[in-house]
Amino acid sequence: MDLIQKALAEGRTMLSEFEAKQVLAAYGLPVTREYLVSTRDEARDAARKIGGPVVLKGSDALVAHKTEKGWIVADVRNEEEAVQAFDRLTGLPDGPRQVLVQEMIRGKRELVVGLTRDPQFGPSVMFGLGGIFTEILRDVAFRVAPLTKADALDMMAEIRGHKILDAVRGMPPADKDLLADALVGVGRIGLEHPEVQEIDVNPLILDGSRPVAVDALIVLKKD
Amino acid sequence: MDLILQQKLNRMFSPRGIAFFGGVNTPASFGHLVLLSQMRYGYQGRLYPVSEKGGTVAGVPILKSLAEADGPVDLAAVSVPASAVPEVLRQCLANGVAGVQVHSSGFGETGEAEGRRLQDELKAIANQGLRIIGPNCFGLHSPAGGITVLPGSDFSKEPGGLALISQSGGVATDFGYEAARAGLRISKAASFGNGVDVDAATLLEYFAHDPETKVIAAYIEGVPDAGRFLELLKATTPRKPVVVWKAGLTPLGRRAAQSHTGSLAGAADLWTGALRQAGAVSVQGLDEMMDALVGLHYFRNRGSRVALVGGGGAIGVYSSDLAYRHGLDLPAFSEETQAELRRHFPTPGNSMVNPLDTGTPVLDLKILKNICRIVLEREPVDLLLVILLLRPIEREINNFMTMMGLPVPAAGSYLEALVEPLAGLRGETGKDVAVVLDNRAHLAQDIEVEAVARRVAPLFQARGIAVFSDAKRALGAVRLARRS
Repeated sequence: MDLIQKALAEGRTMLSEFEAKQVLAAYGLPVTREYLVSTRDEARDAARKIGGPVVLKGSDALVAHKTEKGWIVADVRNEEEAVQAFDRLTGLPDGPRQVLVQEMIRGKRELVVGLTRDPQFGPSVMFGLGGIFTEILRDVAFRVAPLTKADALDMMAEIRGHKILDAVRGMPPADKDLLADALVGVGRIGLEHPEVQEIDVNPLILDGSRPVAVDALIVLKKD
Repeated sequence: MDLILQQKLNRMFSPRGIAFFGGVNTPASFGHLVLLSQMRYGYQGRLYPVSEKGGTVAGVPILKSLAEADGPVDLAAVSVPASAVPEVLRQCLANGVAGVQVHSSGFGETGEAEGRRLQDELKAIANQGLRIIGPNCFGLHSPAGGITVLPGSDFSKEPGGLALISQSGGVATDFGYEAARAGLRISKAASFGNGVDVDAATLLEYFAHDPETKVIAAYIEGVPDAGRFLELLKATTPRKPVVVWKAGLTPLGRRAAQSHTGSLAGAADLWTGALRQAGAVSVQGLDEMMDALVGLHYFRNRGSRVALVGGGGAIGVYSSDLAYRHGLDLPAFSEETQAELRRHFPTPGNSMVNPLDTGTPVLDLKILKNICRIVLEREPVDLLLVILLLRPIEREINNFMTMMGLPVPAAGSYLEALVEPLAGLRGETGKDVAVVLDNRAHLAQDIEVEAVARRVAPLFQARGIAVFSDAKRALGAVRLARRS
């Protein structure tokens, strides 16, 4: 993919969230609607085009953990608030030059999808419970790429919290078919792009039944 | 698989002659005991101990060089010091030996430069056409070929369908005895140690194609090419079940993980996922491995619906808890079945639902046989598990009989009387039957109870009835062997 080669040519070891989502979308992972903006007018325009509440995130390919840096403004209700949020982020000391305006996904169920490159097995796909407590819950399953759709469905059944994917508390069941295709797709990224070292899609939120990648990270090989 | 490799391994597992290098003149040395072990096991082919010193060992003449052998040599057991191994292997290669098992240590496992250099030298000799098992291993065992490992001179001589791939010699030895205890018979077993030439993947491929082997067990610590091993597993499991005990953790390298995925991807998690993906049964520990193999061998239905019959309410309750945790099903017996069962019980108060509490652990044999028949004939279960408490059956009752001046039944007679009826029901109904011989007798004078258990277990096993030492392991076997 061109944008991976471009990032490598620039000496980067990470794709920006905006870039990472383009890679993921190309492999069948549903991602948030979003625009990368550099001016107040663009921010206003993006908020209008998306409609409904949006999230603004400082965008910098070198910053992996935006929450810790205070680079996120959530629940932005209208165009005016979008401009204010843009000003706030770009006005931070060492703040971002570009800002991502993205649709706000409100689902309560947060999942994680990832790719790691194991020295023994090669690219391996992870699926499990996501959100900020991923490492504490450690409720994840792994499969070695290439994955079959059956492997992907098996991973969903394997995690302890698998019932979160069913119809719970008035929420519809997750679209496991779409989710399985996404997991197969993430495995394919690992196989087709040896320069991709790790992928983290966290959280992948269930918007009703539809999984949507809300944040994403792609780490590239340093050499 | 490669036909020449397959033929060489066939020759090694059923050798017409075995050469022995190292320690043959030194009583009680490892090499000496390797030779005695083969003799004691009853190896029928020719023995060729080799040493420049000559002489005899256990009545067998020692050859000064392998060239003096007057018949074909298919296998050599090598126990000379590491530095002398390459020279011995070159002698074997020159004399048409199919393959060797190198018992000696002092190679790659030392982590030292000299050990690694010697291991590379062995690899170079293997490339010239000599198959090498080891180094740092116990070697091969095959009842059909009449060969055993050390220790293992009293392994069963009866061949069966179970193959073992083991990176560890100790596990191979323990496995030989545990398999016999479980009533399982071995086709071939290989302790391959450092696996310089014939490694876990090669053995897996060989056993997958071996017509005698029906089920494969593997104990592995590390695999040089995990991808290839996984592909072979995937190709094998649809035809033959493979039980894998992966011990230790693979090094994940020094890469500092920058993502959640990287930090969560412990080697154990990756192996668990990979083994499931390949359709293998993943176990931890020898007991769990044996339980899986017992389940795969004895349970024809490999289902998860269990009927439980036993004396004592608590056994039923905790077994139900275990079944629940294992995701097994203890379906409640129908009203009609419960009514039918109740007709056979002299006293009220026992639960007839499933688990069926027989009240007394020494239920009248006729009643016990009847209720087993009712359950197996009427209920849609895959397996009937009968829990038998040996201490009350073999001790408690006898003590009271003696006090009352009544004749004491012969040791083991209660259990023996159950073998044929249960085997008959298993045959008639097509449902599986297993027994738990639960022995809590511990006093020195109660040693006979253990003797009864050991004598009776093979009677059940010979009739297709699995025997377990406790309900927990029995239910574990159901879980591990069930078709998902």
